Amino acid sequence: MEQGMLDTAAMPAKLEQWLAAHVAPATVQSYSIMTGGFSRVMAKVDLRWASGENETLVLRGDPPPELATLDSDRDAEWALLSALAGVDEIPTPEAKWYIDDESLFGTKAILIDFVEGGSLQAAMDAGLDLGNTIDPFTSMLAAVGSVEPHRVPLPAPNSWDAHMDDLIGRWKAVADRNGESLPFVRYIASWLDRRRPEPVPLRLVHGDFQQGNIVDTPTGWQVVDWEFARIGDPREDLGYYAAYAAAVPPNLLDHDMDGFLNAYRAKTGLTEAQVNPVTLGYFTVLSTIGTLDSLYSGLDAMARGERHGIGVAYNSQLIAVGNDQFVDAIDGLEAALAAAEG
Amino acid sequence: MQAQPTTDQILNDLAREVREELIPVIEDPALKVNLEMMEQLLTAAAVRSAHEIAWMAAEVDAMLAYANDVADTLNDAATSEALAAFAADSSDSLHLQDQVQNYSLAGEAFGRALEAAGDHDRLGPAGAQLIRQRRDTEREIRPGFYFPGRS
Repeated sequence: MEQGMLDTAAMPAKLEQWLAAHVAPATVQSYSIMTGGFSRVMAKVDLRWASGENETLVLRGDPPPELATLDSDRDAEWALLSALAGVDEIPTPEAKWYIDDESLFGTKAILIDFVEGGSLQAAMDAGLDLGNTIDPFTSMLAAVGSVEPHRVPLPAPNSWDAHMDDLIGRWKAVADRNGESLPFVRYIASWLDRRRPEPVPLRLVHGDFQQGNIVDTPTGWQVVDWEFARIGDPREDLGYYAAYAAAVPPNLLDHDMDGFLNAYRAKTGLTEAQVNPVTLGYFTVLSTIGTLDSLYSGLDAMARGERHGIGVAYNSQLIAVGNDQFVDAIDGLEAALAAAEG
Repeated sequence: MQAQPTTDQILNDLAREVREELIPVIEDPALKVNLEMMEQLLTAAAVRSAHEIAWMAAEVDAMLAYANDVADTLNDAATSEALAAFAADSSDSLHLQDQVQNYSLAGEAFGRALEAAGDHDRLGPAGAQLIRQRRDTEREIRPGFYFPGRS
């Protein structure tokens, strides 16, 4: 099996070859695989340029196809990262170069600035004050959810209704094409279709907004891992965060839901009818379709013998966690709706 | 065949070995994450090996009963079609692959029935209750779950 970017012995020379041809001669001082992301391969690269300067970069590409756990598009990610350099309100590490020829590393890959710092998840696990974290966290979430579609090179739906049709249709499509029947997915898709909330303007959606994808640097937070970004309903990121943080605590919404939602509304200008515990529950379920689709695709391919590996098999655990969250969210929302109806 | 120790005992012991003997001495963070995933998967596989045929058989009965109720009450064509597929292709064999096939066929009938039931006064809540039972079974398959390597 071709190891691609995972081949730590061969990659330094290949990288030096590409840099010499496209940027400038450099020596790779070290090349090490990074942890923290399940879906992409990331390597920390320490370089010494021929000029004598040292630089540390992150090389981000796809795993070998048979080990892939989630699918996403490097072309789209590169285009978005390039555009985000001009969106001042969203700090993100600079994407410097794009290797769009798969023949060298076995994958398209992006060279990104390495930023010093741990994840916000790590800071939280180490005891970061959650009450004081809500304000900057909602600021970052609102900053993403306030970017109008024309500012980033992502396809924009024709309307909010069309977008919702598409998202709910994706749930149904997962059930239609999966080798094993998925009554859970059909149940959720049916429920989503019957409980659509009030619309809001379409905006940038990160697609995996959670504390593990915020790097706490000496100069402030930076948002990373934009592979699932899209134009959509900004409440998708809010709901995704709720689903993620319920599985990977701490959860800022559990700490102070009213404070969190008040701050989010104030920073986005969205109303209480648009952002409340009920709509949060709805988007907690809806927003995970991108991840869920890929998780099921991986398992389905494994069942057919086309993929293998611990990461793919582990999707079976993640799907069970997701189902648990979905049922809780649906039950909570139905109870809230019943209470509202008296 | 040697039936004891049982498959779940063997898998649980492998999981213990990974957890207690391998993970603590591994320094490579990427390999450590893989071993943490492996330990969880071995534990899950142990639970499944002990119970999954019985669990699936019980769920099949419940799902078919519900789907038949929906088909009769709402005259839903998609549910009836899926029930016919189960009748044609299901098997009495206890081999895992055959039980998995039965489970999938019944699951399709159940899924179509859930779509048809929607907000129906009786069938909606009844379907939701079966979904909760399925969730409860899935919980049993992931004891001690945590996300490896996310901090």
